[in-house]
Amino acid sequence: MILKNYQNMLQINYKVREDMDLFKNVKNGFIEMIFGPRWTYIATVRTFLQNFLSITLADNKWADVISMAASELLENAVKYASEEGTKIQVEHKKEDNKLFLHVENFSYQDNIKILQKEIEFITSGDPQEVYLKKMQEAALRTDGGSQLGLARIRYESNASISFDVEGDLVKVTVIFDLK
Amino acid sequence: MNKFGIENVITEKATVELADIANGIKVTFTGDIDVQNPEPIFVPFFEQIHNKVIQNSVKYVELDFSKLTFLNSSGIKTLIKWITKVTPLPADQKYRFKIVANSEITWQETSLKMLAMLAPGLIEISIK
Repeated sequence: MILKNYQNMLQINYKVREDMDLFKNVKNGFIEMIFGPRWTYIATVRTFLQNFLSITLADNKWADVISMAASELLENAVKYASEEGTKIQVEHKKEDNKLFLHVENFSYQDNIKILQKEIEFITSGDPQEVYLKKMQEAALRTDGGSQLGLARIRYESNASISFDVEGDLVKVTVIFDLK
Repeated sequence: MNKFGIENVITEKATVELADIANGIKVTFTGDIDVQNPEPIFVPFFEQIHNKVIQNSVKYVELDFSKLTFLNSSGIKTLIKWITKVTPLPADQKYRFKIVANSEITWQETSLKMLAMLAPGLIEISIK
């Protein structure tokens, strides 16, 4: 859980999910970062994930795709946050060969409703068709937003996208099938 | 300076340069485009190019992304806005794009291919 009134700082944990102790035969790699939502952190986190995952997964393409997805989700978190505090978690489940990317932030109810509608639309059809439709809509937008990020993630990775809400805390989860 | 007299865009992390080539013009993107709102930077720049291309009856614009390491979705939107200005033009004003992508930068193959779908027949993709 991230805390409200979080100070503007960056905290990085790289740990085994079950607990913070290191033990032998580690199965699932896990990274967690918590920071006040600031645009300037996004590139830092993206670059860190890209470098880290290219070693962990031994696959530059997945490292590129996952770091792009993290960057897009963090951009949304910064744009639509109602409070300080953003958490990103990356969990690699080696046995299933899947990677879970979670981004959590506090948001306003109006924004949460928009996000819910957006995810329902984006996950409802063929990823390429949905992305093309969102691009056509983006051409006409004049509000500064693109609303392309989630559709881009799904199209470029074929990942599944879901979200959970608890009060004003929103958690977006992207699951990458690395097989 | 290019023949249109348009100044290049230089930001903290990216440069976008316009150059004359034999059969048209070339726009070269370098660095990372990841600012929160790239529209005030890039939309007027692309509009200037678009208007000059039409005024000067240029028929070929090359967009070289091979040195662009990251482009966020807001940056993609600025390109969409440019490309979709060309599709409704009358035939004598239309011009073609060639997009040059780098196969070693994962997002380029996927995202840039989608731009071609916005303007069928007007965009050629070359992946190096």
